[in-house]
Amino acid sequence: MKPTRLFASTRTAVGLLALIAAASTAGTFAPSLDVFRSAWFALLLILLALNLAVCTAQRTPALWKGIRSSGPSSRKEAAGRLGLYFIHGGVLVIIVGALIGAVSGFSGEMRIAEKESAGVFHAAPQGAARELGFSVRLDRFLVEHYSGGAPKTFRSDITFVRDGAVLGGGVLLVNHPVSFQGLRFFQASYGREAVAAELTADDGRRRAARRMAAGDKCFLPDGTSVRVLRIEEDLMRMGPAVKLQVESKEKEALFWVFQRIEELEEQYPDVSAAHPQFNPGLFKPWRLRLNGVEGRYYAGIQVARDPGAPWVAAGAVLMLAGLALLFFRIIVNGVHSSRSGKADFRPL
Amino acid sequence: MQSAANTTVFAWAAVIYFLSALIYIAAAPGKRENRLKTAAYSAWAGFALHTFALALRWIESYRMGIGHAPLSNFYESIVFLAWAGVLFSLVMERRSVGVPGVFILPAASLVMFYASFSSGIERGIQPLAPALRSNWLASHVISCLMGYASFAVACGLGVMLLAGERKIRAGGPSGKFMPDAARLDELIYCSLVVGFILLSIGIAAGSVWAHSAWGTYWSWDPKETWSLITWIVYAAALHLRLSRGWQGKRTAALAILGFISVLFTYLGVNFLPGLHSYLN
Repeated sequence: MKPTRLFASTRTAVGLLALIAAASTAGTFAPSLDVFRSAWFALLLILLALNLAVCTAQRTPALWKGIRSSGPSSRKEAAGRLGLYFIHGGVLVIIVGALIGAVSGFSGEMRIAEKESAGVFHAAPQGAARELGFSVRLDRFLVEHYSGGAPKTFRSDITFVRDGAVLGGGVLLVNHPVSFQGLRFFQASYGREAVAAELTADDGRRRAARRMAAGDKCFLPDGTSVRVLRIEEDLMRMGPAVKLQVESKEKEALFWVFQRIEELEEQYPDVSAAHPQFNPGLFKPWRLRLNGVEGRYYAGIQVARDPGAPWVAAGAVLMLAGLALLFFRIIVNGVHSSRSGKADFRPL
Repeated sequence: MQSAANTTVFAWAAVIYFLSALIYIAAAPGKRENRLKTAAYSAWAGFALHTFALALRWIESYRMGIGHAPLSNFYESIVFLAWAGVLFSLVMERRSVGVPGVFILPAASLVMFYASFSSGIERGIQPLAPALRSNWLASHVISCLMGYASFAVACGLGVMLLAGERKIRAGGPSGKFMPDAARLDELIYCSLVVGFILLSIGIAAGSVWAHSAWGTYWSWDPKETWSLITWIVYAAALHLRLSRGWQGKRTAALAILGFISVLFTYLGVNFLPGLHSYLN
């Protein structure tokens, strides 16, 4: 068989479709296989694209003949053929666009806290940072809630800055991305992060108060050091808390201090005795107290560049136009020849 | 969430569907014209009530101050699916009296009873999550669910065709109950084409939406992948029919296979992690 005949056969097309469907099924059940970014999956798509290209090319002369000839029945036939032509051409363009995107596109996430800037993004959660070439400043972050408390929408006001010069900006909302220099920015997620904790220490005679960020270390009047390991605005739904490492020459202790410790002790009596790591007086004689936690919003922003996207969009429009033509050919004009026993609509 | 009037109206639509299903089943042997007409009229009545309930739910959501089309949770999706199925049945009745209703109405009433009385279903109107607040929600969900309904119809007709063939081979009185295979084959093909077009539109609308909400038109999320698998199964079925002449029993078998894939796309993937899971 000639190579073009082999590629143009329906058997090859259906076989390739079956392989792609089987590979996709495997991909959903075993995400670890990473089917959709593998080379062999791309190869299957390329083979399908070749099949489509050969089929479409072979169909062209007959299509022209059908369009040139007159008469209502052959015109209906031509509409159906044109429909099939568009559908297959559209799918071909979609695959080409997807491959362009896979080769030269990228996407990643950046996390920016309010009033801060970031100039890098991460393609994978733990992946290496990539430079944007400019930085994104989050000027303001807002969350709007329904009366019941569920989040309704959230927005980031962002500015693009390079070397201190403002290049542009925009308002980023869920479902409303912002484009800048060939990159598209999307509002993906948000959250809050604790910035600083207001702490006091008391040994009955002396009292020390400090505002500390995570990682900060300070010394109490007797030389005992206090280091803030973690700050949480809401730890396990028990309110603000800090994890401290308290150290003197003789001993060391690691424990959490909750802001609402009195409330918690009322709710769970003996909590400090049963769980020393939750006892604010663990490091005697000092008793530590958390007076407040200062937090701020951060925005999870997705950044993407996909040069294939316009191709995919054009292919989808072409395919839908073809489906519309086929719809009118088959449904509106009826399936007349099905009782003759032959296939009721032959593409060629 | 307070119990709303719309859920009561949906439950009444289920009751009327049940009654018309009984009339259809009583009318089918021997194809009694008058009874079939009565069955179709009662199906229309149920459909009108069902449509009213959808409108009422939409209005009630605006009264609650969280107005959105009733297409956002599992309850709303199965109720809409039943609505679309009955709509297809009533449209097909115009070409082939009594055939689709015999199985669509019992199925629709079952789905509606399940939606209305199952204890595991949240029937309240919930506010939309930020990502769902998009103009693409309605077009994406409506075309996908109508596509699923069309595929369900094709599957049901396929079961009828296979059951009818078996009866003929067994020498039973198939002509009395079953419509002729050629007519069923034609209806299956129409349902497959309509479903395929609707699914294609639904996937395209979803891609445009994903492009603006998640930054990429396609992310191989399990639901996306399974919708592609379903699309491929039906594309293969149409190719086998159009250029290899697969008809009758073979088309029926492909319609059933395709619907298994639809069911997995619709329900199965909720048990896989992803962006679309809305059961929990």
